[in-house]
Amino acid sequence: MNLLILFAALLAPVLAATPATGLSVETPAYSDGLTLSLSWTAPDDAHSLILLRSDQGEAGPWHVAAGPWPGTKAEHQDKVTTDPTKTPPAAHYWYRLVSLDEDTAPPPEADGDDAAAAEQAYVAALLAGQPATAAVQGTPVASWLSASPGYLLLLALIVSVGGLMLWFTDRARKGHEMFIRRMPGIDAIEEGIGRATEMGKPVLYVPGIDELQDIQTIASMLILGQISRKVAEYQSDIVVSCCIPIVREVADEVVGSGYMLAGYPDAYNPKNVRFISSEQFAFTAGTNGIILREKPATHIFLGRFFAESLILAETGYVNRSVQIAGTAEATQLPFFVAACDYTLIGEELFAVSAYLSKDPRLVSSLKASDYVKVFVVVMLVVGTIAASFGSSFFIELFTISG
Amino acid sequence: MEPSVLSSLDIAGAWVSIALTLGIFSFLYADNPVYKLAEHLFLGISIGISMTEMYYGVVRPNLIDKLAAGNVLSVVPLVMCAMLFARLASKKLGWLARIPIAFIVAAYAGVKLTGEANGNLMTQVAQSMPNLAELWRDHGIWDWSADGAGVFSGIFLVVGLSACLLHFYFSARQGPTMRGISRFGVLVLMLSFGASFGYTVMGRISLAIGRAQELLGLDKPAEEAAQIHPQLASVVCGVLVIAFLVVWRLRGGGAEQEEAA
Repeated sequence: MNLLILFAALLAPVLAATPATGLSVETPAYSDGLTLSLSWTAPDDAHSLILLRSDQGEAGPWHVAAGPWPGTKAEHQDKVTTDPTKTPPAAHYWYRLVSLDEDTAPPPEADGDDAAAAEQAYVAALLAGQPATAAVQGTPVASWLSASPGYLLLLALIVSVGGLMLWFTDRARKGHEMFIRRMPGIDAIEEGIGRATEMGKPVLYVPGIDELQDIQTIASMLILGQISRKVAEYQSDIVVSCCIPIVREVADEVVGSGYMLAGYPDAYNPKNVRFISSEQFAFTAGTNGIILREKPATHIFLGRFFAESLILAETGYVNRSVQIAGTAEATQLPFFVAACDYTLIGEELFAVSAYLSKDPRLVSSLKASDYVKVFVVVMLVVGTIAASFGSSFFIELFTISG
Repeated sequence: MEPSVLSSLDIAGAWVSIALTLGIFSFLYADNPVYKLAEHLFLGISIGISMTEMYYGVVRPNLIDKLAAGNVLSVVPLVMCAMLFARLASKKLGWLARIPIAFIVAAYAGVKLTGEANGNLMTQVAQSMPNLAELWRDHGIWDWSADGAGVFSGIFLVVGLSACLLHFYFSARQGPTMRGISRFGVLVLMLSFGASFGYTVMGRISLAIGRAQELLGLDKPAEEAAQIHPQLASVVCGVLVIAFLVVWRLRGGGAEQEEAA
């Protein structure tokens, strides 16, 4: 028995983990230029593996890129940077794979200034005491085109929608009737402006709290143009409450144009288009102040809203105003549905701008998106039947990877 | 470990926080000067903080520091910023402001196109094609132990989603069939809105509990609460707010609002 123990003790250094073999680094097909594919043959006797990366050269300095993993792992997709705007990818990367035995400690979890020094000490100890592969170089290269099925379908959809839009626009310009179903919310907007005129009180318009480039804010600005024109025709007033400075500037121009198109440019008062605050709840408090003190007869909330939606709508309810809301923000729609007289749900927000303006480009965009909806419904039904019979073709077709 | 000793400023800050919370709550009675004071403080401070954050977080690192480092390309955003202010200089030059706005909107649209289409269209469609055979094998028609998973839920998902999509089909007049589909779509939407409403209201109640805990000092360590005396602060500030409202009301405050209503 003692001899056996002695034999085992003598063999211990020999039985320490061996390095992985065949480590290779490749740029994946259809790469975003930030990922490298690594593969290797896992050693039989490693308890775990850890991947080191350097962007300087095969001599290091080395950093822990990933791991520790179980010793059987044989491939890895390495993201060389998670924030390419702040840390752009280097031209080349070098990798080493270290086999760890059972007793090797995991990487240190240090914060702040100590983190880099602790990692360097850990990596130096690893390379000195554990078997590692030789350094292998990889070069991240971004592909010009991803030919994965999901991207190709997306490209086809974008091209089809663009083509349909051009076709519908052409038809509209040639005088063909472009039917759009009327929605109750549209009638409510006109009624609301009429009510405000009769009561001699303003209309309050809130274009959401998101930036100008958000699609809902853009739709809201288009609707604001039509509403301000109608308000000017009725010789009423409109107050616009904005959360974002640039949105205020655009709203100022849009409302001014509306008054001009209605033939009453002098009736426009730029002081009625107000920047309140870019802080969400400060903006809400300020808009509530407008609702309580200026007592608008009609509130129109169209755009992207978040947690302030219920606060605004409830204050408006207390004020006994007619309230029309619309957003594509699914989490806020329930509050508008509960507290407002009319709610434009999701895509109705975008349909209203097309309906009110009758702009061929907007109408054609709506028509094209209708075709996409029908296509999606057909795909859902066909895909479900196919998936139930064991084919994942349609699921893969709609999966974007890489 | 020694108990932390709060400065007079920390204690005053905690009392101001309690006073402003009660000031905002006074809105439950009516719009009044205390509420207006809290509202205007909130607005002013938020604008001051956001301007400071904007300067140190955006303008300085992305523009001033880069210009100081000799980055010639940073002149482009500087010129665009200047163009945004052209309307203030002259009405005739107002059109210049449209160029940077158009640039922002167009650049954002291009950058977000694939991400939005992937997140809001492709992934959702891919995950809405259930394998009914597998659902039948694992859960049957309806499985209470797996949150209602089963063939019924799978079919309801596909039919409900299709009906919702067809509700938003604007290009045709709604005949009896389409009207039926549309009503079913609205029913599904309202079901999901109801669930979402209840879930979010629970979150809001938790926020209200948070404020109540601050008023009672339950959100602070006992040693800090012993120095701040939040319960005393709540009583004192509450009495002051109520006394002010009584005086304000006796002197005719709020009459204009009642007339307007």
